[in-house]
Amino acid sequence: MKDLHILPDDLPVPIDDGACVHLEGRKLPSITLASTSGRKVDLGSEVGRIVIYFYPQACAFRDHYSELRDLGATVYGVSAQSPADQKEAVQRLHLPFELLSDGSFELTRQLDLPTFEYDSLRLIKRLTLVAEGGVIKKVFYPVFPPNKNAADVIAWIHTNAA
Amino acid sequence: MKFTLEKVVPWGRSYNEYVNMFTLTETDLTQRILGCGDGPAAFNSEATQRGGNVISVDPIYVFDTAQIRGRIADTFDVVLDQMSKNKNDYIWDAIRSVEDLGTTRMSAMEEFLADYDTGKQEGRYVAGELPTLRFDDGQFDIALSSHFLFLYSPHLSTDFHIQALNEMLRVSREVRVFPLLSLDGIVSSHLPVVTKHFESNDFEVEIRRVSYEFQRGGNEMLVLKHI
Repeated sequence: MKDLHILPDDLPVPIDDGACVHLEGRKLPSITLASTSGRKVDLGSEVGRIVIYFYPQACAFRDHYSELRDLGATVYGVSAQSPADQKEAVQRLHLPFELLSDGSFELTRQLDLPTFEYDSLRLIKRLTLVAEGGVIKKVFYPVFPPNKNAADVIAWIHTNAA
Repeated sequence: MKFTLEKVVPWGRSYNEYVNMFTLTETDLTQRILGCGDGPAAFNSEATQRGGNVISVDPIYVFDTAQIRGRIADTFDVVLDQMSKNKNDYIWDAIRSVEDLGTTRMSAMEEFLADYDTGKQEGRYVAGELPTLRFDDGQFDIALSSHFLFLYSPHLSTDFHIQALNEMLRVSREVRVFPLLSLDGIVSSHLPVVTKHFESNDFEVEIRRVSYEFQRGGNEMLVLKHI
């Protein structure tokens, strides 16, 4: 009997529908988003290296957070959830990084990010961006399985560190 | 109403979960089994590998492998997050944690996806939807309903339940339904009317305890048989 508690390494990923091919090289727009830290964050004005996890609901990347921080990256999670829902998630999941709310889909619209419907809600598909100096350098999409993505991001930064 | 992928939240259970939810004995597993609403469960795939005889019917089988895999990837986080929020409504024993649940379910769904094209060609995955089944009278020995009837009680009427179970009894000599709870964790309000209906129409009706319990209190199945 196969062990269902371990996922095979060669798990097929969903087909890339090309919904993110336009993103590499794009500037992050200057839009102010509410953060779970209580402050407002404008991703377009971030000058350092940032890793942005876009996700539909919940974001379980805390295990790799310190490695990313050691690589000089600031980590943000962005979803269309309300700030209140994001605060609940930060507490429940003990997330060490800030979540930003794009509840108005303004950032999603300007970057033309893929979304999907769930139970009549519009949610942002999971994807990861690495940006430097406000410009998108690398896009991870589709992201699957979600728990493997952080390691891919770390490997990419190691190889491509400016 | 058109059945669209946006309405689907694929979530598949393993072969072992099926065996335990429905107390499927070695003998049962040699019978002709129909799984109603199996979705992306691994039961059909593994039962077939073991020499069994299973047909699954579900509306999601109108979609292809890539479409189902894509939808699983989209919705996976949301389902797990909801489970994490409602953690106390489940028993974390056989499945140890929300992460473990994610891995277990994903393994089962991958097993389904790997078998899906072949199974479709072999007629083991048939697109269709209760309360109508395009099968012959008595074509099966056991018809199963996992996590559909009773679970979605607020969305499906008592009449729908009776029609669906009648249809399952038309194509099969025995019907098993698990769980008897609705999504809120309370025993379905349809259950008393449904059991009374089938008792008074001369079917053998039994509510049987099973060894499986994940949704807290969800450890019973309904068994209906032709007398």
